[in-house]
Amino acid sequence: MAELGEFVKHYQELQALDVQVLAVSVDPVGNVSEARAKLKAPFPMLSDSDEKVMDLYGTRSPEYKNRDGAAINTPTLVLIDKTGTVRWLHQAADYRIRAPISDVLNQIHKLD
Amino acid sequence: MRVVNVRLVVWGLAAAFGLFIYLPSPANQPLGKEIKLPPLRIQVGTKAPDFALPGTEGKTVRLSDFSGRKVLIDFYRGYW
Repeated sequence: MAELGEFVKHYQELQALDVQVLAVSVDPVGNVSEARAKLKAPFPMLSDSDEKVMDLYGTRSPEYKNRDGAAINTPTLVLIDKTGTVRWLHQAADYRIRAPISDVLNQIHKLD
Repeated sequence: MRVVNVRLVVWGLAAAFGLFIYLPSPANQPLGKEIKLPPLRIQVGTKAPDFALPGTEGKTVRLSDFSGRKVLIDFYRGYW
């Protein structure tokens, strides 16, 4: 969850850019609450435990499962503009690779 | 002749050591296993489909709650 930590760290900057961050995983609400408290995340963290949004967006990992054998997301960033249009997507074939926060901020600056 | 052989041995050892250092260095190996990802079901330039999910405060959060604002959704792996 290194990336979520980055968004926590840069939250003020994201707010100044009028960007709402939403974090989505398939963890049950209890786990999500725990993670949110631990991260001190000021943005909503949502529980997609029935995997509906995962399949709506197509982020289901073809390879990895969590410790309970349930599906998990391929780490994916979706940047949506004011009109609700998808403007940038980021996924990496290697799960340990994340978009640097500078790339994310650059993409946000391209909007409006 | 003897001097040449010693040099050869030294160079050989240096080369072997160099290879040993080179091969496992992070720049030469992928960080994790690369996997072929299935295509996403959303595309740049199209509307992001709305959804409603429970949040940590027991409230349902919808993507459309933030219409008129920029939104960054981070689909993360969670506990695994």
